[in-house]
Amino acid sequence: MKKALIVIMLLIIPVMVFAVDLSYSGMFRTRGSQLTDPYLDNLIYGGEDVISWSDYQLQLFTTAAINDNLSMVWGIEVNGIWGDEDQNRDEITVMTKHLYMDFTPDMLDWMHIRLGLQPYHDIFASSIFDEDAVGISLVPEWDAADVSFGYYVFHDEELTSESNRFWTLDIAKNMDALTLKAAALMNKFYIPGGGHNYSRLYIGAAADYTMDKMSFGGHFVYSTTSFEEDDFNPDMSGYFAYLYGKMDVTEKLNVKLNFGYTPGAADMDSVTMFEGIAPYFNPYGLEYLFVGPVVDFPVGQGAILNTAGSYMGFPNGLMVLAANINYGMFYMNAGLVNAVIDMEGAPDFDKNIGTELDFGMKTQLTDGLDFCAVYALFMPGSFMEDEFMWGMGADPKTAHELSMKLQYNF
Amino acid sequence: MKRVVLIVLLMIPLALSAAEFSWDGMFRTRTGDYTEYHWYNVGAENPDTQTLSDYRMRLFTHIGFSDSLSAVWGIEVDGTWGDVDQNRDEINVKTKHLYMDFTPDFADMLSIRIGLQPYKDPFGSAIFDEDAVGLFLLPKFESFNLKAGWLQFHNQDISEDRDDNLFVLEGSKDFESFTLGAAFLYDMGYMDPNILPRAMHEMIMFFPFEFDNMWIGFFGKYHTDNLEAGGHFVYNSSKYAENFMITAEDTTGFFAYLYGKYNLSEKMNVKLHFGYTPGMDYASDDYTYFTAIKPQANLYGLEYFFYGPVFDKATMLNTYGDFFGQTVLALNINYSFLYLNAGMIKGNFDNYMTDEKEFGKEIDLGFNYPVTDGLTLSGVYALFMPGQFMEDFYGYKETAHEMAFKLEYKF
Repeated sequence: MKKALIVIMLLIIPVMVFAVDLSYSGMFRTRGSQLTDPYLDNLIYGGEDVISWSDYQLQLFTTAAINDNLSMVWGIEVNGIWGDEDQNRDEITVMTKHLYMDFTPDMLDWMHIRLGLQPYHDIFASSIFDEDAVGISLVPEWDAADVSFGYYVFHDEELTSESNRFWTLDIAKNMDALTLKAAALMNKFYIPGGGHNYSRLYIGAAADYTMDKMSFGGHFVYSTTSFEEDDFNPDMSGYFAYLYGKMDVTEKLNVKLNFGYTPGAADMDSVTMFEGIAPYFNPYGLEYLFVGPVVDFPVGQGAILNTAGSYMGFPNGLMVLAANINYGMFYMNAGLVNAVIDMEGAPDFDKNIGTELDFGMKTQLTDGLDFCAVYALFMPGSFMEDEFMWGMGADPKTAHELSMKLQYNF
Repeated sequence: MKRVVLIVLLMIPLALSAAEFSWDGMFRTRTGDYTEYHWYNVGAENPDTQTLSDYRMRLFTHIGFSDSLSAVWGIEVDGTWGDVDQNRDEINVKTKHLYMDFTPDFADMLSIRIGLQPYKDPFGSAIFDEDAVGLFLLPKFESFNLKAGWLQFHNQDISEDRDDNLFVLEGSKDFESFTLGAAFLYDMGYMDPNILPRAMHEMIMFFPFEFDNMWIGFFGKYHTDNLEAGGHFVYNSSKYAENFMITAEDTTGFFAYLYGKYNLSEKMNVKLHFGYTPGMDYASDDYTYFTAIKPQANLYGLEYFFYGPVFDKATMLNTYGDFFGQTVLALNINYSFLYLNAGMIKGNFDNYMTDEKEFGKEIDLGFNYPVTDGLTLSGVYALFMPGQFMEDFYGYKETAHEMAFKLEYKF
């Protein structure tokens, strides 16, 4: 009996010593890339700007669990690009990524509250918002469904002379193989005298159905934007429809097909387009055209598309058909991207933005250390050489990206 | 057996954490009063003097994921007392190191280090001693040590059309009481003429538009119980496509260094140094001098003229070469916690504005005292007596001084 007590005491001592239980998670990565600089002028007028670069990133999340009802998370991020400024040494690059508190009030033990700088991403393939922001989210315990409410402050007019706030409502219900989700998101932007003040609502639903060897699903989200009457902006609305189907052909081989559509149209009275707030968008897996899974934001002008809809300075949508084929450690992506544009009075023109092919691999160099590499080719379509759009000098050529990433998640 | 089970049970909380964290680093506070170190001020009758204190913390977090994989994140916090608004709430946490060490499963004789990491050359930090991003390969051989690396200082695609890359190959062999090694460093770069003002940055002492710098040399060390002797010889060659300071002449140079150290007793030891780098002949087309990238010149231990071990903010010269060249004879005598340094420094140039080449002489009196376990208090009083070169060139020959203290804890 005494020995048992000793064992129990000795086991408990480490727990008793720390009133706050600290745990850590995060990731470390190094990436390198050579690619045709993906800004529009470069792609349309010859693609001669090719950039080579490497970078590194550390994310370290410290979770302080104080008791069952209270914990805190502080997440930091350190970023650097090789060869940027004085040898990268002694750069002041430590950023706070997350700093929030999770708690459950004693008098309201069915309500979980998260307060502070926290992440949020929408259920529509991150096409609207996938970022960190300060705010409060409420997650009540409810047997019928998972529900969460959020309120985030991007800008406070008393501090930055503009107001930008974001409200969220997410509902999800799991029913064995079927998951149903719905969300309503509201963004309100205001600058005194800014001429572009609006309230925007997103409302939509998503579903995923999973079987042994097959899964499919999709979403539909509608957005409507109301501008202040005094600003004389036309009404704006749009939607994003997305469908996918995935099949495991063998243990090693699986195939996924994606289809996405956003409209684009404009006349004197209204604009039809889909626009996100801070998207992180790549349901299609395409490396070069969208936010790539190996290299998401290259140096230079950034990924050519980080949106489901508008990107060219006038209302347009996108229609994307993409296939992802995985075999063991290798994969191949293929995608066809068309612009959706219906401009009042404009002549008819070709709308094929281009075709992309990616050849990639993912493997582990040692336990937990992932190595990814991809070679992507983007072949611009007839839209990119259209004289009406780009003038006489348009001469698009095949663009490329060769990227590698070494990453450890812990 | 039961005790073993107990120990195993006690280790469970440690085993539950997949990543193992450990920390090391240092904390220090320094203060110094010194003759302001620019050459036009050193030796003046009423020179500018400065008094300042500073602090620094370095904290290195080691994250061990497995035997084959670990990462290091090192931060540094620096501040000078009374600098800005009571030093409070300064945003001054810098990233010093951020790298990953790993051994691929398919090449278990090869260690790879990638990221922001430290590197110093084996020639007394005469060429490069700093942190930079890059990749080092460290193959494991039983018979000798080898490392090969690439450091990227500037990438022209993202850094104002400036490009600078250093490639390193080092090898050494340890015998019982003898170590012999060789190293090859190759630095190639380009700089857009439109950003020439940055060429005067201290990092590159002599920065043409396009350059290829090469260093090749060997080093050795021999030691017995009471005696240690060693040195190095490194030759450098620089080729320039264009040059904005002088005509685009290729240059060569070298740095030869010898030392001997003898332990007279348990408490007392004596170390003697001799270093030589050639200087330019300003009357000819002979561009012979030793060049460097980012040196940390403190081989000789001299506090004021070189990069001081107690207080490095008062430093007349942080290089072993430059256009003037150097001949240095220095002596370090340590007795228990007390020490004395003495040195004589002269230039090796020809046909400059004066024939006199003696930069000066220096004497340091100092101590390194353990205040408590791990905490060391260092103090030094350094006197620099300018030589005839300083008098001929600047018109002054008064003795300059530095008095500095440092309280440092390493963990």
